[in-house]
Amino acid sequence: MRIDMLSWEFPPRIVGGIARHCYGLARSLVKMGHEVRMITLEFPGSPDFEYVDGVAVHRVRIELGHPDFLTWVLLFNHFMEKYAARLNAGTRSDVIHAHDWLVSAASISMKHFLGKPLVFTVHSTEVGRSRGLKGANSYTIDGLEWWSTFEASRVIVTSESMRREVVEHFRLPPGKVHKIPNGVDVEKFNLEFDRESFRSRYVSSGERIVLFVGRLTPQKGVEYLIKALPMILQSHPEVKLVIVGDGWMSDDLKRLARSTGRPEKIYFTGFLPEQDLIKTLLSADVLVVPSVYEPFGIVALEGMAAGIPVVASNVDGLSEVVHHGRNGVLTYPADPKSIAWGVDRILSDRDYAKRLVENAKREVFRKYSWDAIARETIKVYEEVCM
Amino acid sequence: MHVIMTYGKDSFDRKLPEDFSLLCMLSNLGVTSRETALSSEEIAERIHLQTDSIARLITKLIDKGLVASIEVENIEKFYVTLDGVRRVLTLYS
Amino acid sequence: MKDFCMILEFHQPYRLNRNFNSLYYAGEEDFRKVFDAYFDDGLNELIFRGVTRRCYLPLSELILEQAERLRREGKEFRLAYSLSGLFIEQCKRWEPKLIELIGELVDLGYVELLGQTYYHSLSGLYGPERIEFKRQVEMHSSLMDGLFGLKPEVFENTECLYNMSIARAIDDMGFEGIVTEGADRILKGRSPNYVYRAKGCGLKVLLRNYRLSDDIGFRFSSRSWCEWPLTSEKYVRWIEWTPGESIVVFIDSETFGEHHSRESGIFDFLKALIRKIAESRYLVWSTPSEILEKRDERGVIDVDDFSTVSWADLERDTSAWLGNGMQLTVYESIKSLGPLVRSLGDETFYTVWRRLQSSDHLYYMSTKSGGPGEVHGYFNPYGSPYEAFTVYLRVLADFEVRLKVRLEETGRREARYLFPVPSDKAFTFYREFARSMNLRVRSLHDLLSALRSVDIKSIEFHSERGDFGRWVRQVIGDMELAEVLDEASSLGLVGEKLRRKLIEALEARIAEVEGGGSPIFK
Repeated sequence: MRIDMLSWEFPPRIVGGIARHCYGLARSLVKMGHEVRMITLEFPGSPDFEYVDGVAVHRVRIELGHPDFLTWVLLFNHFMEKYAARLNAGTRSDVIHAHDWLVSAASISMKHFLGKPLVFTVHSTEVGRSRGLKGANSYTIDGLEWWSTFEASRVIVTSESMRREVVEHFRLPPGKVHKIPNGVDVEKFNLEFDRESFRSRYVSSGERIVLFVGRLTPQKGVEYLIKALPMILQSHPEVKLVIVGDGWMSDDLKRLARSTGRPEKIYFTGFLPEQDLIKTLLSADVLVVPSVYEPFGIVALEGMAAGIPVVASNVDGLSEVVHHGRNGVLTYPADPKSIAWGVDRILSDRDYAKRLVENAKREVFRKYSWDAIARETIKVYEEVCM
Repeated sequence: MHVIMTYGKDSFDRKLPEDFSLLCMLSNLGVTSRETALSSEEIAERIHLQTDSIARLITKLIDKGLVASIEVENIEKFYVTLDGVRRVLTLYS
Repeated sequence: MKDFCMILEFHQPYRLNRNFNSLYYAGEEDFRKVFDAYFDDGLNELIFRGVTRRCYLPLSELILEQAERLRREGKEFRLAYSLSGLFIEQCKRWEPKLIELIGELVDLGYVELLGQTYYHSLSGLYGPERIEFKRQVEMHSSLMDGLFGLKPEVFENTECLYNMSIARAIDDMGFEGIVTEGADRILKGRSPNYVYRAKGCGLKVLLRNYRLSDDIGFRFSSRSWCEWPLTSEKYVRWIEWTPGESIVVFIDSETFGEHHSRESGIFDFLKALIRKIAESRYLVWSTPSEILEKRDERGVIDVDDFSTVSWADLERDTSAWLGNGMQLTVYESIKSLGPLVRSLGDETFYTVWRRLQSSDHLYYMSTKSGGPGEVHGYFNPYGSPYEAFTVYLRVLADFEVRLKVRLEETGRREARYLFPVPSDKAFTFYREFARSMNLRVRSLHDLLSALRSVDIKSIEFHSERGDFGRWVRQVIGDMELAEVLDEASSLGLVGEKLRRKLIEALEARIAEVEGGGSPIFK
C-alpha cells in the first residue's frame, strides 16, 4: 500500500508524542513492505527531503508566516496541500493518514482532490488540553477537530479514555472509532554503556534518581512533583530529582524549585538528545509521570521498557497503561502528598519494585510493539480502501 | 455527557510569559534563520506589540539563548535559535 | 543612527511656612515683612543646599567631566537642562557656584536649555489667550537669556502638561517645539520614538519615552523589579533595540543622588551610560532642538483641552494637582485673585501670587493612595495633604486680605468688582421663564465671556427684565456699571445689537478697573 502520512511534527521536530508515534508507525509500515511518504514541516538544520529508515520524509517549507498561531497553521496547511498535490501528480497514494487538527485542512482537501479515503488519528482534543473551550481560537480548533473526525472514514485513538472523549464530545458512531495504542521501541533500550559514569552527570554515588521526562507545561503537572520533593526527602534524603525537558514554564518551575529550600536536590537538564534521554532513563531509580491530562503517556511506556519502576497519576490514558500494583504505582492527580507516597512505596520496597518492573517489561513486549501497532493500522487502511 | 476532569485548573489559566509570546510570534513568522532575521523596527511593524517592550523582551530572549542577533549592513537583526524553536514547540501537543 | 536625548528637570519650590498665622502680623503695616513670613526660607535653604551637595553639583560635575573627556576623544555628548525660574532664584541666593557650573556647561555647548514657566505653575491650563501663562514663559526666557545668553527654542511645560491650547500659545510665542509625555492614550498605538506635530499649528512635539525614563527615574534601585540590577549594558541594549528615530528620556535631575542614593550606583550607571551611548554605533547623543531639526514629523498629536496629559502618576493627567476638592478650591481661589493682582500692578504682590501658583503646593495636597500616593508623600514637606491644604489656605487668606486692603489704600477700590462672588450668588442664565440653561457666572470676566457666546434669546430675556443691572448692583456692588447696563437695556435693542451694546459696556468697565495697574513683566 502507498500511504501519505501528514503530521506537523516528525523527528527531529519533536513537540510531543505525535513525532514519536509517526516515526515508530511509519518505520514499521515500511518494514512490512508498504510505502510511506511522510509530509511534515521544515525544521532548522534538517533537509527538505530524506529517507529515514526507509520512510520518505518530505519537509514542507513555510514560505509565508504570521504571528497569530491559528493563521499560521492555516497558512502552513496551504503549503502542505500544495506540496502533497505535486507529489500525487506523480504517484498517487492509496490512503491519507493525518495526525491531529494541525493538518486537518490540508488532509481534508487531499481527500477530496484525490478521491482517496482519509484516516485521522486524534492524539488529544482541544477541550481536554485547555480544560474546556476558552476563547475564539479554542472554538475554531475544536471545530477543526470535529470537522476532521466527520470527514475521515475512520478515526484512530490511542486509549479508551480518548475513545470516550471523541465519541461523546464529537458525537461519533462508536464503530467509526478504533483504539490502537501508542508503541515503544523496546530495542533501543538494549544499550551497553557505563551506567555509573553516566549517573555521575546528575548525582554523586549513593544518591538515587527520581526522574521526570516531558514538556514543562501545566498539563504535565511537574509542579506537584517538585512540591512533593521535600516530603520524599524526609524519608529518603539520598534522593535527587532530575527534570528532563524544556517548556515555557521552565522559569516558573525553577523559581518553585528554589522555594522548596532544597534547590541542590533538583536538577534541570533542559532538552536532551535521544541517546542521552535513553541513557538517563536507563540510569534512573524511579520515573514519575505526574500529568494532570494525558491521553496516552508514551513516557510511562518508555520507563516500563527501560526497566525502571513507574509512578503515574491516575488520569485518562495513563491509568490504562499503568495498572496499580501490577506494573506500576498510581497516585492521585495534582496531589504532592500522594506522589510522595508513591515514590516512597517504590524506594522503600525493592522486592515490590522489582516485581512491578518485571511485569511491566513483559506487558510492553506483548502489547506495545510498533509492529503489532502497524498491523492493526494496516487493518484499518484495508477496511477504508475496500 | 462525558465530563472532563479538571485537575490543576489554576496553572492552566496561567498567562503565557510576555517574552515567550513574542518568541512564538517570531517563530510563526518564520524568523528562524540568519536569512530571515528581522530588525526590531521590522518586528514592531509585523507584530502589533507595544514597540517599547520589544527591546527588553528581545534582551531577555537573547540572555536565555532563545534568540540570536546578527549584524546586516550596520543594522542589528534577530532570529529564533534552534533552542528557541524547541521552546516554542513545547506550547502545543 | 538613532538619536538619544536626555532631559533633566531642575526645580525647587518655595515651600510655605507651616507656622504662619495672620494673628502674629495683625498690626504689621509693611506687607513685605509679612510676605517673607509666608515662606519657610530656613527649610528651603536647608533643602536646596542638601540637594545641591548630594545631587545638583556632583551631577553637573560628572557631566562636565565626561563631556570634556569624550570631546578629547573626538566623541560627542550633549544633553538638555530644564531649569525653573524658582530654581535659579534659590540657586542665586544659596549656591551661586552651581549657576557658574551650569553656565560653563551651556557655554561649552554640552547643555541645551529648555523653556518652561518661570514659576513651575499650572498657568497653561487657564485664562483667555493664556495671558498669564505667556507672561511666565516670557519671564523664564528672558531669565535664561540674561543669565546664559541663550533663549530656549524648545519648551517643556510644568510636569509635561500638554493640550491644544498650550500648544497654540507656545507656537504663538515662537518656540520650535514642545516636549510632553508619550502617554499611550495620545499616541493611540503609535511609537513615542518619533517627532510629531501639534494639531492645528506648526509646533513640533517630542515625546518622552516613559518606560525608559521610569526605568532610571523610579525603578533603578527597586530590588523587587524583575530587571534589577539595571546595568548600563542592558539599558543601552534596550535603547539600541527600541524601534524609532529619536528616544527621549526625561527625568528629574534629583534622580541622581537624591531619589536614588549615591550608594545605589546611580552615578556610576550614568557615567557608564554616557560613555556607552557615545561609543555606540547605533546611537548618538542629541538635544531636543537637534532632533527637531533633523527629523521629519511622523503624524499629528491631538489632545483637546479636556484630556490634558502630564507625566504624573499612573493617570498621566491633571489629577495629581486637580484631583480632589482641596486642590480645586485652592486652584480656583488663586486663579480668581488674578484680576485683582493685575489691577494693583504691584511687583511684590505679583511675585507672591505667582510663587503661590507653583504646582508643588497642589501636589502636596493629593490624597491618592497606592504607589502614586507614596510618591506624593515622599515629596511632601508637610505632615499630610490636609496640613498642606490648611497651611496654604492660611497664607492665601492673609494674602487676599492684604491685597484688598492695598487696593483700597491705593484708591483702586473698584478692583474688588472683578473678584468672583461665591457660587450661591452666581448669575444663572435662563432661556425663558423657569427654563434654566445650566450656565452660571461668578465674575464680570465670566459674564463678559458668557455674553459673547450665549444664545441671544437668553440675553434678550434677561435684558428685558433688567437682570444684568440688578445682579451687578446687588451682588457685585458696582453701581456705576449697573447703571450703564440698565441704560443699555432700556434702549429697547434686540438681537446682536443688544449683545454688542452690553459687551461694549462691560469691556469698557473692566478695562477701566484693571487698566490702572500695568503688568510688571511684559
